[in-house]
Amino acid sequence: MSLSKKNDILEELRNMYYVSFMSKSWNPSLPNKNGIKLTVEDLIPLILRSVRVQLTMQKLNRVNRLPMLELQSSVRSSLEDLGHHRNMPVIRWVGIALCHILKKNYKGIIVNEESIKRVKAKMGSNPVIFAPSHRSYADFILMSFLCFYYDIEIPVIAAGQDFQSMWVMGRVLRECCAFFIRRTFGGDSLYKAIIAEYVSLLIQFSHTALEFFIEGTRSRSGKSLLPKFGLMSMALEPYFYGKVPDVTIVPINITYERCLEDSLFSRELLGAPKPKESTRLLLRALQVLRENYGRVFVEFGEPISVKKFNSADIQTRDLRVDLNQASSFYKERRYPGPQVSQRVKDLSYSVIREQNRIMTFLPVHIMAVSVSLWLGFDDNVPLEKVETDVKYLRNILAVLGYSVELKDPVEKEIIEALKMYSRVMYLCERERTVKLHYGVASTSGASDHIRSSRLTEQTLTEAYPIVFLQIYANPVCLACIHICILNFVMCTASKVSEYTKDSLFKDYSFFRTLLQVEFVLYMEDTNLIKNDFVNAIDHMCTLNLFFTATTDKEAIDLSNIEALRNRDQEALLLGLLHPFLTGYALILKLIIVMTSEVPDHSEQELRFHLQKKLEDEISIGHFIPKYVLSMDLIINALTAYTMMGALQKWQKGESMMIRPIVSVCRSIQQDLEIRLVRLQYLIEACYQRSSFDQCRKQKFIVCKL
Amino acid sequence: MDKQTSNEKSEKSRKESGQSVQSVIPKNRQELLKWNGWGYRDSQFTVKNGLVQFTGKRYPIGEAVLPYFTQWVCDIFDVDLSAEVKPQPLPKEEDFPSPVIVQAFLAEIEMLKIPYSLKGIDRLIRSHGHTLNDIYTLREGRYGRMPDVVAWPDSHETVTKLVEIANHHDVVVIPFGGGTSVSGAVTCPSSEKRSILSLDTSQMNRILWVDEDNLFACCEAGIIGQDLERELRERGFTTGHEPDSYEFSSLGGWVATRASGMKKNTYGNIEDLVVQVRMVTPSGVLEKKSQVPRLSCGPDFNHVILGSEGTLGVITEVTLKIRPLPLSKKYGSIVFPDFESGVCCLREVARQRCQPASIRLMDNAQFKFGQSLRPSHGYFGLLLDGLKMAYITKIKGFDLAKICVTTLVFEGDPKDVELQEKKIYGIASKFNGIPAGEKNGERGYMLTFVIAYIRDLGLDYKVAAESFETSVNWDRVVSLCHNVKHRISQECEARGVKKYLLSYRVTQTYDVGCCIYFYFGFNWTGVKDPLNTYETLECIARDEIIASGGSISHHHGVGKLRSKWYPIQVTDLGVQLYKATKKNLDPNNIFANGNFINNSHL
Repeated sequence: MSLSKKNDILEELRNMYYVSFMSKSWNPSLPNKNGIKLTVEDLIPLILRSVRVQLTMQKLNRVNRLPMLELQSSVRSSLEDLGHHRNMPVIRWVGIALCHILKKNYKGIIVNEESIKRVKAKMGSNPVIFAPSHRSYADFILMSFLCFYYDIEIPVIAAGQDFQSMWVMGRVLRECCAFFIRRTFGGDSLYKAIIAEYVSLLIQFSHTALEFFIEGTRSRSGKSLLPKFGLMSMALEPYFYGKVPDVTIVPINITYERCLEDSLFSRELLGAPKPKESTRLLLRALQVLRENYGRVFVEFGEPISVKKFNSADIQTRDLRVDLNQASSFYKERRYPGPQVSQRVKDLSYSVIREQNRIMTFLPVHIMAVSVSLWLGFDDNVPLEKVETDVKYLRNILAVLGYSVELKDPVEKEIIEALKMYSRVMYLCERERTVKLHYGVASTSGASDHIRSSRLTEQTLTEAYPIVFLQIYANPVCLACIHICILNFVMCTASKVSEYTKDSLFKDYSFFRTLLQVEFVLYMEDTNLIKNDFVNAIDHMCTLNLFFTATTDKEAIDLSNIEALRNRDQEALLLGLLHPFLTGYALILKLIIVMTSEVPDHSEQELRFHLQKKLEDEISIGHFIPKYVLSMDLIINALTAYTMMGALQKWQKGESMMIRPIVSVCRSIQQDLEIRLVRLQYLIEACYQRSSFDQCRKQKFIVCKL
Repeated sequence: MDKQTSNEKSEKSRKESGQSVQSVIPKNRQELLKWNGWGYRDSQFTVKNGLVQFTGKRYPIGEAVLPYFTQWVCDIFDVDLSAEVKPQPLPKEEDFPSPVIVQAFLAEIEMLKIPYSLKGIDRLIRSHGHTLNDIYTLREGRYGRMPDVVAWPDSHETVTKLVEIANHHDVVVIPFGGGTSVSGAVTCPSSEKRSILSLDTSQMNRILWVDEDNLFACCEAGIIGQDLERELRERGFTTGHEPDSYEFSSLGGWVATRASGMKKNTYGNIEDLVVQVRMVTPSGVLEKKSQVPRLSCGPDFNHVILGSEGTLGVITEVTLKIRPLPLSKKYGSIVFPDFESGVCCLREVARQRCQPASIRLMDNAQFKFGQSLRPSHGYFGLLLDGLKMAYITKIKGFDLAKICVTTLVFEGDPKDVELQEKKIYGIASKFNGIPAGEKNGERGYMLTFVIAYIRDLGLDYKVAAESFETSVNWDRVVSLCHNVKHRISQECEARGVKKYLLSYRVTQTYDVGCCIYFYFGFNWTGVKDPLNTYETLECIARDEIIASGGSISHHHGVGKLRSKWYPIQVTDLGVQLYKATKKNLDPNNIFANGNFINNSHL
């Protein structure tokens, strides 16, 4: 971003009494000047009267013989239960508490003010959606706080229903403009109608922005989740029906130097169940908040105009026309329909892409890559090695256009970061190496929690810090995914020099398809895939990896390939994919084996089964990254294989059953395994070459001298 | 044989019994009307000493200096009133393109003694309507294809013969009535190689008979609105059909475009007024053999004629309903705090079906514009003057930047009018509307006729402007207006258009929706191709209208300007049906003005 003026809010707050800050007179700018203030009280009568809810009630009345009055009062009471309010005194008091907590535990909240100014300048004439990334509970509280700080009307937030049951907190959040929706609607048509109407009315008439998390839930793994389309499609309904001129979507990235929930997430990734949200847990979390949580970086992305997004391709007809020519649009259930669904999908993926494009990378992200890679081979990593790796990666990220907060001297920043993560890793001063603290938990609650995982104590102890680190390494994988894939394809090809642009694209597409769920890679826009591919080659030219820049658009230049090979850099990029590809290959192998005994498994059962089997593999295998135990990875792999037609899913009673299509599985397995052997070889070679022991000795000698 | 003679006889007696009408508009239209602008030659906005004024005595603001309006023009469009853009002069006769002539056809016309002309000026003024494109081209551009011959038939019979010989000689016929089309309907398709005849209906303007028992009258289609009203009024009747163009537009034109009159609430739109209509087509005369009030007899073919826009034949005679003149007429106006409240009020009035003869709602921009169009010398009852303004803004808390006004016309028995007034003002008060006096209402309607003259002033000072309309359901009125405004503001910005005005009003209300009328104009200083820019913007606005649930048109018609959207409005099967009708009525496609569907696609 050429325009960036980073501002530390906390710095400013430290210089003033926060009580006086929170009680400042406040004249917020309105994201949609044509709207009005709307709270649940205003919405209830409108929702009750709406065609959508009326029709649904009538149907329930007819089919299920539910009396209308009862239905009406149930609509009313559920709205009273879930709806949002806007209580300024509560907002101010929460703000004061928040100021206190933030000041105590955070080093800085760094906001790119230019990006906010840009967004503010573009707001005003139509409805706005704030779409922040979701990595922590803190996200929406922080968002509202920022809006207060930058004089933007507090957005109405669609929050997950699990927060509602929290004692006091549920109520407080509702006073601060949050409303709650269930994670799934099941078959509850009335509930769906109520929510659809709620969202639609907010978009049409509210003067403030609607905020929701397009990923649907907090990502445990540190990288984006596949977008959910339900809420987005509801929110865009007024646009597609021509009720509003446009909708502006503002992708927002919030990056935590240390995420509040990192240890919880590590445990959940290892298979411990998600604890029920409760105020008790929150208070405990607040107690945890004695540590230093570093900095938070907030960046507002380029606002997306839904109208422009939809008219970018002149050939396609304005979808709104079809919807509006319908004779009875609520009855016919024409919305969203296949075309609108497709647009909503395209749009949602674009939002996620933008959220990632504007992410800020911090020392911890970059060093986590190096540390978690080499700790798979050795029990400690020389600081020097980490430093070289970090420099490499910093350069790569910069070439890819990301903003990286890592100053020279790099060593100092690494040591700073190590301090912040002292719970999982530390610097052995004597050896000048980075080591891990094995073991799982700091508090008794946490150790109880993780024991609910089905893995053995031994495995958990070893895997926990690795998984923890991987959460921080993952965003880097996501950021570099395209060049990672190309690098992998090139490194592991039997004959690199025989690649043509077409064959290279074919292999790139194959691995992109394989990793589409893991790294939210959109597969339905062929132009986008082509673009990503071409850009990745450009980036590799710039990075002097394999390719030489060429003017011929249809060809690739591999003439300098030997001169351009940089084994260390290659190994690092290979390392980024290592856990994922290894995991995916193993999972495929295990499924084929498992299902040769019992052909059908329920999905739920299969996940834990796989995790257990993977644990066995680790205990006998060589250099299998422990992150393959991550439930997230297992679920993603299953989803990806289903999308690729290697697995078949079907509903059996309550549960989802899975069966492999063995022929497809085998063909994928073949492609994958040969390459994986080479990948492991190359990484190992790199490890041998840099021979840590030698490194240590040298350092030792240097120290002595 | 017997039948034929009796038919001929009745035709003859009709002809004799018909009362010929001395039209305001002469056969040589250009003697009274501007050749390159709207309306009477003596009436126009001009700038003198830096102030805008209106010339002539035909309209109430005539011969008056308009300082407020001058200010308004400068504020809205930032025009330089010292830099007038002079239009090109009328070309000399020899400069017109020579006509494509079919000698045998002309010989037959002469034999039939139908007056005709090959003069350039006659052909030129019948080659266009009043779209921005038409007028801008007359002023600045190169003229395109124009008719080759102009003929003035004087009766249904002459038209029948004329069409017959035109069909025989493969001469294209483009009917021409009042020339007020705003859809490009009378424009000659540029690719037309055949000889084109402009069939001017102005000389067939008799009132054939008036039936006072059944309250209908039969008129020839060329009669001009104001002539028709004047004549009927003398007999104590009115049609009640008053489109804004009624000073110049013709009865046949109304039928051919499905026109809508200001007072349709009391009298109905043209389709409600027409009892019987005759259309001469190359395959014969299409008409319903009955004048009964209603028929259950298959599809109503009057509706093939209504809105046919000269593509199927020439409308020659129309029997339409008449009403006794109302005993009293009263104007009224209501101020609303914002457009939304006004719409809610109109919606409620429509729900209760208690619309007065006319009820219109203007947005804030038009409200301000209306206020500005007043002379400097003593004008009373102005809304924004003195106490009243203080009352509305201070006590009622209305925001002058949001205020909107509804204008009303009541017609009928004085007692009924009183009741109606009471009811309307009662409903209005529920939506925070405040009655704002008769004067404001009257001015609103008077301005309707004057507004049409403003475009010429705009063109004199680099402002391109035009109006367009749509029909939309109630629940989408506000969002449609809002969407169009939003879209236009973005598109203007994208094209470097800095000073522009988009204003709208609700002009007709129905059970299920209403008509919205937009005015759009911009200062083209610094814009490369003003005409093209305007047309692109209007096209974008129409796209937005349709995407927002509006229609392709309410009463302006399709013509060529909106033919792009014709298929989506009537569906592909509808297009096929139209084509089949066309093929049957006009197999040689001599009514080839190319409306609805481009000729090459027929």
